[in-house]
Amino acid sequence: MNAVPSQAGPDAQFRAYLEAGEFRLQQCGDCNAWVFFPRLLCPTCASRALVWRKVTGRGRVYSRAVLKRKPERGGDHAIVLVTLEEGVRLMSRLPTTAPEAIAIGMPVIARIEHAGDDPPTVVFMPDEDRP
Amino acid sequence: MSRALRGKAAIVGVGTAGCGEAPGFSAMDIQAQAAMAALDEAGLALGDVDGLFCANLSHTFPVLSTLEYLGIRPRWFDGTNVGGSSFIGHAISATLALDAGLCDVALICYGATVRSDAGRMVPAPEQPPYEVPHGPRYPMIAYALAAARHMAEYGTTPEQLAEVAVAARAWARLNPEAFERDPLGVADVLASRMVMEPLRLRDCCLLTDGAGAVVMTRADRARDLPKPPAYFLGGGTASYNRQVSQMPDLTVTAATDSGARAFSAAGLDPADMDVLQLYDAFTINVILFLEDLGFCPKGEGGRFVENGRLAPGGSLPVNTNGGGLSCVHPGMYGVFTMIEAARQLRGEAGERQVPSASTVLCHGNGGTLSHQATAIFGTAETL
Ligand SMILES: [Zn+2]
Repeated sequence: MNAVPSQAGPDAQFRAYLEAGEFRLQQCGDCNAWVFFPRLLCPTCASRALVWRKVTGRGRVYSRAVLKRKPERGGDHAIVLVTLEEGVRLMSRLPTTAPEAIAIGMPVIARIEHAGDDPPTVVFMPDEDRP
Repeated sequence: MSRALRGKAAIVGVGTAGCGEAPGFSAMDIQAQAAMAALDEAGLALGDVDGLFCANLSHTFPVLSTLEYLGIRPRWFDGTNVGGSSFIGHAISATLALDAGLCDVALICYGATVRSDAGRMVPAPEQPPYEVPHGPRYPMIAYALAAARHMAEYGTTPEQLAEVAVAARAWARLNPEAFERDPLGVADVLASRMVMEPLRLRDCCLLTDGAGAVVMTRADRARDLPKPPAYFLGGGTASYNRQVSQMPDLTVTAATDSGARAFSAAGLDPADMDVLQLYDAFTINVILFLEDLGFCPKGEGGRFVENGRLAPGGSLPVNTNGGGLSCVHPGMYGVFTMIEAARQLRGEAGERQVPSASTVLCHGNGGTLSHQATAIFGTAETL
């Protein structure tokens, strides 16, 4: 239940939730704005009453760029900005989708990626359930 | 916005050094050469400098390293570092400091040897922790994402982006100091290697060595110095974010606010500007800034730059030195916008001179579309 150390700062809390398999972000208890990146105050209204809540993970690709690389250097690498339904935006990837299949505006859904010893990150895949 | 600083100070000397390649010299070496050239023009000596304004990516304390190298003991310092726009911010704060009597001779300077050192941009030591795991390449990622969004939202085309690079090159061909002077057409830009889709190699600024310096004094003193003064008419700055992923709208920069503040402070409008110097780290920047500074409506920038409007012979001269795309780009470019502004206002720009230029707008971009600074300069008749 309590995967999160009670004294952890907001970055550590965010990561601890991801490690427990939960994608949670802070929501402002005063103005209801969602907050990303994690921090100690609401950048919309300056309230400190932030509460960690599960997000739907649903969003849309806001923009995309593709770093062109030779195959021996890892091949083309697509980076996206995703706007979540909750209104916040984050940089991410669609690791299982070919760069040319990623379009601005397409619906995506989050999943938590654990790669080796790196901290878990939020990545996305196409959301087949939405137009 | 207060017009309290309008005409209070002026650029009285400008200098460059090591632009292109300066192998064997350090950033501080070529910065000192640029500073000496600017002071020589102004008829002033190094010992006259009592206000120092510096930012760079190579030194932890740029102001301190610079004053030590130059052997000066300033009484006013501004090391504000908000990226390549810093120097335009410095011109605003130099005017403020001069007007307040905190200093009498302000030196704004920059130097870097990024081409000779590494041949690439040295990344900042601290990068956004929630962006880095996804493998972005800075600073280009921000501009590629902004260009892609602008294209999707407004139909901006690769050909329109290319027009910006072509106009810059056409100006560079008239500037003996420019680094890239070979002919360049839209087809050449489109045929250049895709680096980070949607941006091609020729959508990207150069990476050169180079140093630039600007000397400013109060207006009363400026009138008695050898060069016709380029008077500070107004300036403004704005920033909403550091990380590109935190930018509220990728197609709208804080130049909307910095520009409005500068125009208000100068009591002028976009239509009053004879020449623009816009920090063109990538072709999309010029399109964004033309829109955000009020030269065309949002979304119209692509169409606005078509048919050589920004090029020699066009109706709106932009980046008359060739810009960061074709003249010089040693990692941070802001100071070079003011150097070219002064040369245009003096009528010293040779083949690339814009006839009877009396106002020049300088615009700097810092970070990854993070900080914007705008300053307007004019000749004596604009006071
Ligand atoms: Zn709030």
